[in-house]
Amino acid sequence: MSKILVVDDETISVMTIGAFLREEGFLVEVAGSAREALEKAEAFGPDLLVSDWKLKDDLDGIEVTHALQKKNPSLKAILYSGLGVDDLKRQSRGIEVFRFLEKPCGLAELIDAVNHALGKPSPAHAQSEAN
Amino acid sequence: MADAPVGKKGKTLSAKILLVDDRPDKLLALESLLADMNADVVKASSGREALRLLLKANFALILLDVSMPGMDGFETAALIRQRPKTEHTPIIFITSINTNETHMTKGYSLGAVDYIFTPVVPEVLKAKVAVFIDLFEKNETVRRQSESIAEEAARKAESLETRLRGLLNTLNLGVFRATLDGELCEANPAFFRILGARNLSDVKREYLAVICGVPDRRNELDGSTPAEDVHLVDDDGTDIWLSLTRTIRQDGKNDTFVEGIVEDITLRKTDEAKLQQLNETLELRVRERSEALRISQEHLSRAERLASLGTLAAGIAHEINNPLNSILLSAEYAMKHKDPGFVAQTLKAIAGETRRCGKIIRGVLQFARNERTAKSVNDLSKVVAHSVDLVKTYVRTPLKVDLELPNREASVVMNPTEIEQVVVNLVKNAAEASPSGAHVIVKIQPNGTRVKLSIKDHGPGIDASIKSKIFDPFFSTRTGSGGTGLGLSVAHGIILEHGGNVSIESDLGKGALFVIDFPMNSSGTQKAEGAENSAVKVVDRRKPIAEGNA
Repeated sequence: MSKILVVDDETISVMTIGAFLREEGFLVEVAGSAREALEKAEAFGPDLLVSDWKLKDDLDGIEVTHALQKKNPSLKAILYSGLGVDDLKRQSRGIEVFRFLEKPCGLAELIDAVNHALGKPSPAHAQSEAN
Repeated sequence: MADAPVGKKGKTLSAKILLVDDRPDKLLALESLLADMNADVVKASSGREALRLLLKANFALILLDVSMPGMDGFETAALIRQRPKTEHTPIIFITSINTNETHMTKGYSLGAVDYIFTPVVPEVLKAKVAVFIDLFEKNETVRRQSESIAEEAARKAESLETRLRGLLNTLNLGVFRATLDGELCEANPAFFRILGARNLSDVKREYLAVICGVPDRRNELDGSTPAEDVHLVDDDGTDIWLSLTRTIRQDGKNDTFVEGIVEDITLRKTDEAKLQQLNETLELRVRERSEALRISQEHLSRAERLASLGTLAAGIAHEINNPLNSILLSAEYAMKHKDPGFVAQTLKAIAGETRRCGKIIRGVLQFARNERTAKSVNDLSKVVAHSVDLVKTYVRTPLKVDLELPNREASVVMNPTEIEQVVVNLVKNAAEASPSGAHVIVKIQPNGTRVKLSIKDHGPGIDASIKSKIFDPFFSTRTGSGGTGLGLSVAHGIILEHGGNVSIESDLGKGALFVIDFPMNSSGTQKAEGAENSAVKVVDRRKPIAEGNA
């Protein structure tokens, strides 16, 4: 079972994403800050990181990705941003990001990105959810 | 005998003595007696001859024989006295007739000054004659002297007049004398030159009417009028400007004249007009430039606002997208689940997030709007107290506020809703910065023409490095935890717009103190009674007046 770490300082977002991904059959941990994410990743050992770019503490999603990929280079990452993805892409040089998502981002886009990142595409599922 | 006086013109004066006797021997005798006198002796053998000689010359003395055939001495004397020229010529009668009173009285009544009786005593005659010669010479000297004095005076007067004329002729100022009716009596060349005339009769009557026309001042004799500027217009429309000083004077014959001086100040006036025009042009240009500057400043401030709107746009995107993301995710998730309890919970969350969006938008609008809002006179204490109550409904952390209000009205011209917004914002910030259970102190202190509103928290304080940025739009230390980053910049704008100032005193670890001072409404201060800060209503500090939900 793939392990996903979700990081977002917006409580509703992080909780909803967490609940949704669990129902989709993933093992999920959620973190409300970069610090919390780094701590939880130690024991959890995620395969995929789903993170907001801007976080309320002094590290952002890019830095969290960078830190985690140093320990686990095969860690996949999906980053999303409320400021558009152009800036985010520019800032993300030097790390491996599987997909950039733009806020507001629906569950369909999210699960599509997650499935692709973890190598189990489910277009039918995404299709049905989008409608 | 003195030397013959010499006149100024070098003429030797000599006294003439007229001897009148019908007898040649007596004439000769007298002549020889007087030969060594300093006088010319002229002889006449009759009264008639004497009268003829008297017409030709002035005599110092007439020695007149009383008894002569035909016209006697008395008759001759009477005729001599009748002539103005000889009216005062001294006459000494010579008579051989023995004196009696009647005779002598007649002689004296005819103007005789003396009598000499024959036989003539030479010493007596010579002594008497010498007196008259001396008298004549003295008179003559006096006459000559007065003549020469008069001549000298006349010469001096003439030379003075010549010099004055010369001066008047070369003077650049026009000098004139005219009757009050505008008849020019005399004037110097400059006067004509200034008025574009050749001579007295050539000066335009309308000019003279202006220059001499002082009807209301006819009674002010010898009073100089202050120099006045007179404007004339030439035939070809050219302006002539004169500075005119006039005096009204009466001459010996009681005729009244106006005398005066005119100075051509056309050039000066023209220069003044040019200068005035130049000044006006300059002023106009300054006004135009100021206007242009104002417009470009307006553009600049609009550009600045647009630039901050650019910053705003990014901030808005970020701030709005966060709740939107939550809304979208939770809405889709609830749609999948359809459990009524869960859906209701999600809808509540969505509503909360939507409100958050609305709040952000309101803040943005407030910031972007630049219009002046309606203001009225309000008591700052009431508005602040109300605001503190309002915070209760907003703030999530436990809130304890000490509100210290003056016992007098603190009248401020304000938009109460805006001021409320400021106070709510600052108190909420203070509350959120303070550790749980700490007090926020809100104080209002009127001080002369200003009133101070201070809000003190016991939070971590504000780092010096961010003090200057604290009022910038979207500057927030609480990004992602509900802060929009707009609250303080909007508050700052409102404070400035109310003529207020805001300052921050803070040391790290010792809390922050926001001090806002507003101008007091002057009419409101009249309600003040007693000392300004004497009595302060102190709210019970143990009991918070506003307590948020934990």
